[in-house]
Amino acid sequence: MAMFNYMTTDYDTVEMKEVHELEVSADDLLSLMYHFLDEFLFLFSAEPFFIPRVVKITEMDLDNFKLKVVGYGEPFDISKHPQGTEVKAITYSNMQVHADSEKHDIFVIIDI
Amino acid sequence: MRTYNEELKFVEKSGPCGYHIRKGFVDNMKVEGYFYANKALEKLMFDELKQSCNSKGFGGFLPGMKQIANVAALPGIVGRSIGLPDVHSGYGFAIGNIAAFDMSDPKSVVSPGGVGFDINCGVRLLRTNLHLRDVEGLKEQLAQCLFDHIPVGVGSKGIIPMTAQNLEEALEMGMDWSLREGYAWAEDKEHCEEYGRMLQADPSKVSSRAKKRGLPQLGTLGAGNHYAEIQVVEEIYDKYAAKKMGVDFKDQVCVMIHSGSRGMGHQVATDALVAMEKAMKRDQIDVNDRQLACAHIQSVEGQDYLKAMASAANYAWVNRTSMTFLTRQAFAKMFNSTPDDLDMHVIYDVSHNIAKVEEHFIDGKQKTLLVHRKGSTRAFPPHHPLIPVDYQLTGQPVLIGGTMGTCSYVLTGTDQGMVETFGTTCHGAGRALSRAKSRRNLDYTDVLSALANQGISIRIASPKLVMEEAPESYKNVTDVVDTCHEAGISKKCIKLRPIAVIKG
Repeated sequence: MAMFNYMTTDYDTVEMKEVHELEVSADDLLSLMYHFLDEFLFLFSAEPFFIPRVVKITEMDLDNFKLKVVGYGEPFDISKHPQGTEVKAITYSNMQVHADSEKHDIFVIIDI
Repeated sequence: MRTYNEELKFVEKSGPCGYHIRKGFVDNMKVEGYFYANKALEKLMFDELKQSCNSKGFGGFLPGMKQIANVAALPGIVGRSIGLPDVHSGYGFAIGNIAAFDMSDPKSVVSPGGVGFDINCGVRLLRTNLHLRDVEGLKEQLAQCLFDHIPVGVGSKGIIPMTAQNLEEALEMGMDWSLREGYAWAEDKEHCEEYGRMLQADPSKVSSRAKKRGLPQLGTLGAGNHYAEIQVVEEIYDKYAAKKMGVDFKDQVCVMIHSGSRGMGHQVATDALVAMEKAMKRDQIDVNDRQLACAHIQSVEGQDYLKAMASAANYAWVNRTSMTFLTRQAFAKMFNSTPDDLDMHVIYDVSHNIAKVEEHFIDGKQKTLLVHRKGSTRAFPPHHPLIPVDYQLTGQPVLIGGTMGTCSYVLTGTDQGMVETFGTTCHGAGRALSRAKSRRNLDYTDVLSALANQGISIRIASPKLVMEEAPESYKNVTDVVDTCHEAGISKKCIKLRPIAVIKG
């Protein structure tokens, strides 16, 4: 969400008109995180230019590193959504997932 | 983890504006690290390291010094891993980091992290025969006209009609495609690195995902630090070289375009990173940072990446050429003239993020190297066979884009740069504050009014994020350029100042 909030300066203009479902699988936890974000970035960057308002994780299998996610949102439209700045790519740089406490901390650096 | 003071034992001052990073600073260093900095710039580098030591590595960026050292640990690296004065923390490689790998060593690697996401991001400078007084009254209209012509910002789409077939051809042919379609002049190519076309490009190595991202974005400026600026010549340091570039008088109007390969390049880099992770497991290549994913140059993954990278580079040249075309149209319209009569020639076009096969001397022996330049600019000396005839006597022009509202420079390459830095110099100012910090510390209305007070017209797609690109967020470009000049790795030629800025 933080990622998409950056691309428009008024996130509340995004309505939930469309639903996109995604499946992500990977070899380990960090690459799962990476691919999860990358899939959404791709949906935004090419047809259908989809910007999600809400993202729900419906299934999460951390033993086999598989995720099912649903995004609710609409196609990005510069006449409707104020332009923010563009997220170009997800990176592994210093990526960290801290799952040992009550609150989970995840650090991902994105390229803008 | 070592404390800050323990870390400092590995860093040693060498010469008036440089530091050695000794082996042992990170694991497995094959060669030493080195970075250039003057007083003001070195403070930023050491602060970055201190901050990371204090936070014990929890979250945040890796400091640039560590990244330079991590690169020095890659297999096949020769010479040293070099940070230029504008170096700052990047992903994998630091931005402003150069590393060369010996092509004859089968263990040598190619790393997409050493090229960067925005493949062949670069700067192009156009000249005109207009004087500042010719444009002063029209400045606002001219800025608006450019803004109307060039699509900018997130989610904007190109206006030059493209089909999937066109895209394939553009990826293969680079600026030869633009020339064939009538968007470029024949002499434009002459003044680009590689003549605007990397011959090893193979569009079949570019994933359909990357092509899908590339198709709608061709001919768009992008967002972030990309811009188009109308500039005037403020100072000429080297009259002879400037004349060769067609810059004859103070207050001459020029246009600078800074853009890259857009989503297309990013996707090529992402795809390669994923493919190389697998190859690394297979070939047992160990690296210090996951973002430094790499593959042996001669492996399938390595070759595929180089071919895809070359296609993305071609895309970037077509992209800048398309915007050159739009700029020429905008000027012609405003001045009721033709681009020809306005003498709107390309002075030069440089690449910031690229890996190239080049010949260099290592310990007196000529070697074929794969030189990775990330956030740095090739700066070949006079008489080098790869620079155009027009610049044989002056050395290659190097275009240094400043930050919004500050000045830009044209430098020329030197022989010393060829010896010390594989013929490379800085690329711009380099960030000093993170984007988040800029947003906390600065207010966008202040930034915009400061620009207005300097008499700079601005058109921007996302004004609320303008503070991230404010001059305060960057290193001082003059410090950076002066350090390069002092170190002798490039020579100052022309200084330009902006009068209008168009940004995403």
